[in-house]
Amino acid sequence: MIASVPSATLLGARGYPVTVEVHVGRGLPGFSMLGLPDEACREARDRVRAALMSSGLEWPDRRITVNLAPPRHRKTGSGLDLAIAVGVLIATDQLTAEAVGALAFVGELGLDGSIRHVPGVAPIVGVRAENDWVVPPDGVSEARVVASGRIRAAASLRGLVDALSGSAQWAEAVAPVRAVVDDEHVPDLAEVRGQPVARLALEVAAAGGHHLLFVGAPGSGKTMLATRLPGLLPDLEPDVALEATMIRSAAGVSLPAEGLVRRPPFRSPHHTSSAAAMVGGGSHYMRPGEVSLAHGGVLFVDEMGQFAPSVLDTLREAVESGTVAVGRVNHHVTLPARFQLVGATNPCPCGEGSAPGSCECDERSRQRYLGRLSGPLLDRFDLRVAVARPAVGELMGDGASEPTAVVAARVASARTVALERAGVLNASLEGVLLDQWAIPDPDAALRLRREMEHGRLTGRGYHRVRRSARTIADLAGRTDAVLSDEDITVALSMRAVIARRAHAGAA
Amino acid sequence: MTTDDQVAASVLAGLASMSRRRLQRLLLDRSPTNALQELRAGRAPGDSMAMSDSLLERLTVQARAVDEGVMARLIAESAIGVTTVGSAEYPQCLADDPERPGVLFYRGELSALNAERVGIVGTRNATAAGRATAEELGAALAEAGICVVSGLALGIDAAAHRGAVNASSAIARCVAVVGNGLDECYPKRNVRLWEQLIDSHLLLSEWPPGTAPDAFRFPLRNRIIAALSRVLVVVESREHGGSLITARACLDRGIEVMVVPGSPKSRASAGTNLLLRDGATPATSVVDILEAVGSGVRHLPAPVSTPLDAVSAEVVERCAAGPATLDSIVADCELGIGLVAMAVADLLAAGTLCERDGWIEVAGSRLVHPVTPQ
Ligand SMILES: [Zn+2]
Repeated sequence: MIASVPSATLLGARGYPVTVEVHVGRGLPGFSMLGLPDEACREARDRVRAALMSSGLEWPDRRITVNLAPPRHRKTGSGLDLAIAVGVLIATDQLTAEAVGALAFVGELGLDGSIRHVPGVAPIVGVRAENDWVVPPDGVSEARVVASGRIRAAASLRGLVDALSGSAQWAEAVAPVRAVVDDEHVPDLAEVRGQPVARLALEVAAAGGHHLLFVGAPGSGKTMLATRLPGLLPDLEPDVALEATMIRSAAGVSLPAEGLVRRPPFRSPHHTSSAAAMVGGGSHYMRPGEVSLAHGGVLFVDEMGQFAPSVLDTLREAVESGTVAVGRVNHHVTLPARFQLVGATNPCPCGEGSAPGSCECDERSRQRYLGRLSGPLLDRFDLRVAVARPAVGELMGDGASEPTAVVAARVASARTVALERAGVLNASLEGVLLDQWAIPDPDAALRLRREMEHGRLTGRGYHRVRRSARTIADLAGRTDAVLSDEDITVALSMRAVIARRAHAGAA
Repeated sequence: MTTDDQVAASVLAGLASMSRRRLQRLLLDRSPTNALQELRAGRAPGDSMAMSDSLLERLTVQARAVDEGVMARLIAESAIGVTTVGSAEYPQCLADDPERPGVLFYRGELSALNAERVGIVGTRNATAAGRATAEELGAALAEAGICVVSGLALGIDAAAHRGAVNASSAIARCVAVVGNGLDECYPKRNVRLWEQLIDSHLLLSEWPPGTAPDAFRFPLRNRIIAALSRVLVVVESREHGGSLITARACLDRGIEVMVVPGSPKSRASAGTNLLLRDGATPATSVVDILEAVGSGVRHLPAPVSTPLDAVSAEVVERCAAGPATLDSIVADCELGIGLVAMAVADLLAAGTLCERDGWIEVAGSRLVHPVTPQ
């Protein structure tokens, strides 16, 4: 007889519906699987067989054919194990089709019959959201985020069969065994002493959505500052929260206890990360990489010049398009990657210099070092701030720094102003809207013209400075269209010209 | 000296296994041509050269490998002067030095050395204020009739040369001692200075044309700068800077070392401040140096400065203590970001300050300008 069980498979951060059809018939005992299964998927035979046998169920000594429909796309991973097992049980009358009904299944089977978590439960369940689903216990919370049907948890094949046949209760969804991340807890800005300009740069970045580059020697607090940016950002919008949840689920990265990613993520990949880890891919299902995991949040790229040029190129493309293409040209998926970029770099190759004259690196080696950051990428940073290790006096000073909560409140109202005014954050102000809402007053206009005449500011830089000046003014409560000389000057001062000769006029 | 002797001396000076000391002893009592012939024949020239068989063998192999035709062409093409210790042309001021070079190569005017000489040295990675100081010193000394000696490196050296070469009323030439052959400019960025020096000043080297600027040659070059200087001025140096080698070479020779004092906040002044601690004389103005040399002190025009408002004055004072980020200016001056940013922007525009990779520095010289009595 033929059984037909709904499930889904994962590609990138999206689920694709799969119907698992199982036929058990006469012929030489054997097992064949059709419908473009990948390696891990093909190995389901051994896992399902062992799981059935160790659960006191029967593995038929007949010819078993499994068809994964539709046949067009590749089925990946071990998440179809459970659906295949249920199909075999129905086809061999160990379960009735009525008992199973329209339930959909996702989960990997252990050889002992346990049901294990797989990456991508959220997108898999989400693609058949109206179905009732059986998922591994660890997948319950993320499944509930996307499902409209009922979500059941099953920890073992035996328990599942008993529950389906009515001889036992459904397992309560137990607390997840996996490590749960605490997105709510981010380090507080109050712990950053001194560094008033770097703090302001964080605030402006948060309020305007500007990308931010810190230039400074090790120990100057670049990481300490960057980790405090997510705390300044508001909760994710519902649609972005859902996308971020799908991506994190698909990448197999821990989710918050309640399943939904509400807070902006913070990712800080190391420069030794592979291109696949940064960009995505490296597996049949195109695992999302760091640029996508940072979607909706902050991507902190420390020691930026150390990353492979190809990775930096992808980074720039992601910054420009908000998406990243994962995979080969003729076989790729597009994943969301709209993040706020915080870059950091040493000012020179020796790593200890920062102030002019403080190390052996001469002008040329500094330029060569910073020149690894391409002009177009550098140009994406509206804010470029040199940071130095604060003086002892600043660190010991008893003047308390503003805590995250206070700054975040200012950020929130500035963002509200910007969104109500133009529908976008200031970093995305373009064309007419920019001209309409970022008008330099006569003094400011004169200053900008002088900067351009001296080659310190390009045409593009002119627009970028007006955007960050707009944010600076908004944060100060000056929300009319005119930008003062001071707004423009502060914006200019937070846009350090980096590696001037290597990229003449990159400002 | 005949052309053959010049070529032979050049070949000898370029042999990899030829030490400085051995070279000059070799040339004391025989002609370079003769010395080269002996070496090539596998004979140690004279018994003043106690050398092992293996060293002799190496020198013989190296001497045989050099093509004299190529060397002669390099010398002729670049019009390089060659003089050996003991010859009439060899500068007297070097001849008395215990570590004088056996063979000296030059381009330009050897007579530049006839003036009183002051060495100006410092780090390649200097602050803007350090470079401005060196440039002002170079110009003021050249205008006071003093020959500025330096090493044509990036940073302080080049700034000192630039000041001396471009001084509007200079009455002395300037000298650059380099660590490579005189047929090719190094560092490339100083090519304009290189040409100016050849045209109307003096370039010196103890290495024959075709010699690359290897790192080990620079400390050797520094001793020649020391030997040529009546007074050495170190403008900026970190704790382990190469200019400290020059200063050490001066102290060995009893030559006065002067130092432009810098802020303890500036790493670029860490080495120079150590020299001060060890007894070097502070040079806070051009007058200090002229007095040390014993040269007639001329009236130096005091530069006109416009008075600054309170905030700007505070900002300039902070930057004068060493390069600063906007962050540290705001924190140290305890002023608002807007106020400081405006002051910095105006001072940048006025040329009082300059900026590099987000670091703000004083653009002008650190020398003071005492009002000299009429
Ligand atoms: Zn360095």
